[in-house]
Amino acid sequence: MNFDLTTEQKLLQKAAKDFANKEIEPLAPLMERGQALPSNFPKKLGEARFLGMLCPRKYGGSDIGYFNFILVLEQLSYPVSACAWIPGIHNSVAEAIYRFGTEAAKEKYLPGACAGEYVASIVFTEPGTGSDPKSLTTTASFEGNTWLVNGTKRFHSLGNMIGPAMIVVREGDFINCLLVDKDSPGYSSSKSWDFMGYAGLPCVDTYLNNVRVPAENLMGERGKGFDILVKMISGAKIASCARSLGLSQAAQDEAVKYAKGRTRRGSAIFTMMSIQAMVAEIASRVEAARWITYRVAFLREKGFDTILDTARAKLFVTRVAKEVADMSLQVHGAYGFTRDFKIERIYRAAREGEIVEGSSEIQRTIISTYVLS
Amino acid sequence: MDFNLTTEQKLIQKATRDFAEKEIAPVVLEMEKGAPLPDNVIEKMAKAKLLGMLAPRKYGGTDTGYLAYIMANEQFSYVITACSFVMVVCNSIAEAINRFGTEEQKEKYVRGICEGKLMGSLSFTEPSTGSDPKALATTAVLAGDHWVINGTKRFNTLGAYNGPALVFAREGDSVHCIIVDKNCEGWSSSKPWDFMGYRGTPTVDSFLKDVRVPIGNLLLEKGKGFEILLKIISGARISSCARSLGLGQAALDESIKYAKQRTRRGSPIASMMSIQGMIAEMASRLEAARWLTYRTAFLREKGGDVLLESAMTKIFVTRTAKELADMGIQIHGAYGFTKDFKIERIYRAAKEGEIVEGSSEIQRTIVASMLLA
Amino acid sequence: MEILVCIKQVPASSEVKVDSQTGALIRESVSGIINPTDRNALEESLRLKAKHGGNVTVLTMGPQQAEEALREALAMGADKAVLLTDRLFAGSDTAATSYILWKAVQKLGKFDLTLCGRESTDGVTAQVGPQLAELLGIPQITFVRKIELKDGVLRAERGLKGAFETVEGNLPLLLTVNKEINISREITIDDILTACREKEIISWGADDIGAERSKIGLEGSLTVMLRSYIPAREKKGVIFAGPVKDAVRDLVQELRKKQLIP
Repeated sequence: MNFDLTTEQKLLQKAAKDFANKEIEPLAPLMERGQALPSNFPKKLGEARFLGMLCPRKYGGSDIGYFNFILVLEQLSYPVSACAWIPGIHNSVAEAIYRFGTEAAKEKYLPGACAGEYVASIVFTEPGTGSDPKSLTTTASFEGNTWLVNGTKRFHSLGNMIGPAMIVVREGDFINCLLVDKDSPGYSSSKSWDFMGYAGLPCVDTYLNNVRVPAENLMGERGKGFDILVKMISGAKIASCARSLGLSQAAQDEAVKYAKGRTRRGSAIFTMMSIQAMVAEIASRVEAARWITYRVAFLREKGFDTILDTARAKLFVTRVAKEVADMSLQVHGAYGFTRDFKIERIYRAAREGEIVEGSSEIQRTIISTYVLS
Repeated sequence: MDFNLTTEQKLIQKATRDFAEKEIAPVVLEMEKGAPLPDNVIEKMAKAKLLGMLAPRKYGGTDTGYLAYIMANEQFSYVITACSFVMVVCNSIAEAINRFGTEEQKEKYVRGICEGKLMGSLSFTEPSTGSDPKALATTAVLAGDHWVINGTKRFNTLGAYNGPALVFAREGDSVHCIIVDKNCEGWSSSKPWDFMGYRGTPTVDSFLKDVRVPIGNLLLEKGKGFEILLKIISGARISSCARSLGLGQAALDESIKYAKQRTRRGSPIASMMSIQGMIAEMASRLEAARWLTYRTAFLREKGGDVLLESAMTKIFVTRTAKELADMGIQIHGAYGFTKDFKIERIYRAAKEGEIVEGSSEIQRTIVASMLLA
Repeated sequence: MEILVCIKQVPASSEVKVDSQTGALIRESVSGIINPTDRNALEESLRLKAKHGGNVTVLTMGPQQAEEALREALAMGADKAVLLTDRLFAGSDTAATSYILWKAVQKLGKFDLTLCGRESTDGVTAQVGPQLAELLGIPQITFVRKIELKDGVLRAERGLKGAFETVEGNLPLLLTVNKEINISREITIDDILTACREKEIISWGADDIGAERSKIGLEGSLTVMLRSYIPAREKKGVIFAGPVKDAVRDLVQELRKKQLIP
């Protein structure tokens, strides 16, 4: 057992932290006020080698391994900005393409994805369902050498950014995962949903109207899409934990900073027991969240089946994020309720963890199914 | 003991709610996007006699009694609007001047507020303190037959509108409460603070530079400032609870509405135990919060100062509102995280209760000190 | 001129609850409102009073809770309010109700004009207005959407399905009104407090109005309600998916087909 980070890992953390500080932190408050995600941002991420972290060098990736990916993602999530969703989603999909895509698909998409020319995304959700594959209405039929896809997808993050989208479709009673070029004829997007937190996140409804997809874009075996989806989603969940972790650390640091600076009767409020208690509570929960996340990232890198561990981690870590954001805001007093302070956007953003990428209800179902079987 | 509402109370509830939905609800969305409070809305509130509910008819008020006022507050706050703060501040200042003021002060200011011509402000908080009178830095110096006041007041709701501000200032070791006609010479205000929730609330910083005020503007007596403040605040706490109740009810109603129409595998999610559990939880907590609030309001109407009861009530009720908003979002799933649904702004607003008008930490301190005395 | 308005307090929520055993509407613990078209009738009477002078008397039959509806009517501007309440009235169908109202009117005096709402949201029979007119022996004009009163002659425009009809009559007469006749006023806190604290409500029971026992309550009802139930609602929705332009075009076509837009 070893809980120490290697030198390499520490350096990776630092590189990510520096990038976040320089490129994301200044952007975050502007985006919260309505500025759009800069169109050159994926390129910047690509240049910093943050977009091919799980892909082999052969395709232009940096192949740092899953655990390191999570370390980096945690740092990129620290500014609490919609920007961090790109490395989170994109890398998970790129990894899925590498693991389950045809050689042709890998050649077609991975180099561009690693460089930041393409932004990869994934979408399962439709207006009628966010969790039930049996209720999917997006269909794909195969004729000759092409798939024909029709349907509507909802809450497709990065769905309007050029690149491959992993679309989950139904073919009769079976599920397939198809890679769809987001600039295909017949593929269109709504304008972005306006969210409570992570303002500026490009998240759209996707309309597929007789979209043609070449046979080589099928991921894995025909009819076996659900298995791929489950494996891929558990990775996305760990990324979600990393996002919550970065946010939680930010909440903690903001609380400590504020508590040290704000005074009452000449003393910093940090000297008050009630504030100390809250900060202590925050710190302990963040620590717990960190190690459960790191463990599950480690397991996944080693190749273990992590469906149960991921569900447990996500359930716990996303709730912690919400709770520590809340306590941190409380430490800030009324200032925490104003947009002038970072904690305000942390609080708004923190809520997504328990809903997105499999709500906590779904996680509880997964866990109890395993545990009670 | 009688838990029945009188016909008068029921009609006041209904009239206030109808007013809020007809006149206020339409402007809420624009304000949430950043638009300021429209002037004509305050006029309408004045015309509907919502600003002088605690003042005698003699000065143009409607003297509804404190409990009916709290009920009206709750109904008004169902639409989750910054205007709730306008209602509370005006009513509490009118009530305070009516209670502690001279006939001259009442005739001038109470009447002005009731008619909507003057807006009150409670100006205690400063950059360095929100709770500690000993730390007040605003000074009042007697110069002949005038007070000269210097200082900065923070989070001063309605601070930029004409009308009487109750300014808490120190003269040596004494704290006085002096009525200042806002926007007089030497009085200026910043632009409004940008809040996470209840956006558009006209809360500013106000700067007093050699503001001269006739000696007759002292409220009650020299040195009585803090005592006056406590008495006003105990009412403000209960209004805060009323706001939380309106918000909590809205969260519950929205959740029920959503759960009944959202389906999964053909059945509404309202048929699922986990959703039912949350709704049940919300309903029961709200009920407890409601009757605790009404009882405290009832005691205050009878004439008590309810310092202990109002503190206990605020701790519980404001946290309940936050919890209900949270469960409400969870029931809405990802839609709850979008601005398209009302629950999103309910959640953003809910946090306010535990911070403003005496944070929950202060309330706990008060309760503990009174119980352990 | 003396105007009488008959109102009814009905449940506030659109989802009325029914006792599964008796089939009766469960009235308690649901807050009550003035039946919407009765409110329009009251509003119209207040406007007529403003134009032609006179008094507006509001009359209602119901449980004690109906007092709230009368207070609201007083807050709107009615001059006099009468509550007909008695355990013996319970179970009255429209015939018995009209009889009770008629006995009260006999005691109240002569009215130049009587207004009722077209129908109540809970009973939905639209019978009480016409029945009361018959008992009073005065002419009736129903489904009125517009009134003009000049020199004792009333001209009313009736709103029928797909047509309007103008009818004239001399006072006294009775009108039932449609909701489109006006938008009723909101009441302010001032109005409420005056209505609750300063005005009086006259309360009469069966004996006060000399009602014959055989003509009131269940005994006096000519109809019997066998069952009241909420029908199962089928949800039918159509999703117009696809690129926005296409979806909008399809939606417009569909709305045109359903004659919901021109």
